[in-house]
Amino acid sequence: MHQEILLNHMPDGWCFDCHNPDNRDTLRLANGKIVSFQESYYLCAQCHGTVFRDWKVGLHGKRTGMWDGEKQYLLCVHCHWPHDPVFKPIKPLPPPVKPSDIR
Amino acid sequence: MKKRERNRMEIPVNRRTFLKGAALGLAATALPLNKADASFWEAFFQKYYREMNDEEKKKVIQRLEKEYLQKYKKEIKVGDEKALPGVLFGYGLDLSRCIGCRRCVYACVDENNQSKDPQIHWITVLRFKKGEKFTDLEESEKYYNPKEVPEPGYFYMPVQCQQCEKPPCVKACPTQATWKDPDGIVVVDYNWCIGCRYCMAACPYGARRFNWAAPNRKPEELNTNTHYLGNRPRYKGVVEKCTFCIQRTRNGKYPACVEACPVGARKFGNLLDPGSEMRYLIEHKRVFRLKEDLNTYPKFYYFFAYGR
Repeated sequence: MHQEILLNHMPDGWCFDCHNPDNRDTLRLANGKIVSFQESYYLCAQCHGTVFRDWKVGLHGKRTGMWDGEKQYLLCVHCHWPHDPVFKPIKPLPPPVKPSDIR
Repeated sequence: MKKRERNRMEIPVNRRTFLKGAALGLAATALPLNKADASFWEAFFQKYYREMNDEEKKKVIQRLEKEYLQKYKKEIKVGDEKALPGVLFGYGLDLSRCIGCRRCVYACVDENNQSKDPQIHWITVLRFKKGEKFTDLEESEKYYNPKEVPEPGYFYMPVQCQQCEKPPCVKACPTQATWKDPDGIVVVDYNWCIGCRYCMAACPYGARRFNWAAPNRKPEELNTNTHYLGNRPRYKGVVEKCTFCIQRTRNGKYPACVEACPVGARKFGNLLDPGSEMRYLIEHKRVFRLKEDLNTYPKFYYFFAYGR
């Protein structure tokens, strides 16, 4: 199963840059601090600091729910698969009908 | 004195009686007496929305709900939530992230009960070649249909109603059927619109749409949570436009397009709240407004999250 993981993130990176070798259910920051998977954004923020700053104020990423109340936040890994984080192209929905195609 | 016999056959048809009869006959044909139920006459004599008090609005809404129940065989709630105090809505769109997938366009259609055929979309996604002068909207392509987006060498700019602070469409309307509410949303009263389309000619963003035919939409596809000034079912011959999903945002929710965007390029918030994401992006990011030189003061901010 682990053989299927293609690491397409960080050239020359490897598993224990992020995963904690002593307890695989946690993550480890570069400074040795252990963080849980629920707080994985601290790990991402080590390199992507400016994006983290935008994410904290709600510019990067997506929030749903109430604009003046309870919001649902998405973490980095909800959208970016950490082993291959770049967004894949998707199929667009159909274009509007051209006036010339209206019968 | 000679008593004149007056029976039907002996009324002398002089010029005056002829004209009287003709006027009555014409009036009878002009007013569709065949659908002269109470609801028709109530609609005919409906007051201007902004001059109605709460009681009168309630009556109008009850009538509309009854009409929709008859027409669509479905319970449709028509709201009339007023603008919240201390709120001015603003919208942000991150051009460095939009991939042109049109998810917002169809989320909007589902939320706001636009006609399917003839097709009405409130959002138009424009595609530009990178390096083109993209403020020239004539150079853009809106019918692009590749296998996959984003395409290399292109970028995308969705355009919808910019909810101007000085809306030229409002100035153009001869019946004042469109106006700017205190929270900044430009709304249309579909019962007051006469379909002259002056507002469409006045809008520099091409954001208004016209119902050339009766809106065509299956009853089971209707969104039943509606607003009088927003997404309630429209009539033939009226103009409609984006209202920032008035039925959602006046109840605190995000617009449907914000929630649909798969890359999170769309931002929404209160411009008067210094802690909102809208204020942060205006203060910290590179921001522009479309056709700013026209003095329309749009509240729709295009920005670039990655300050290249």
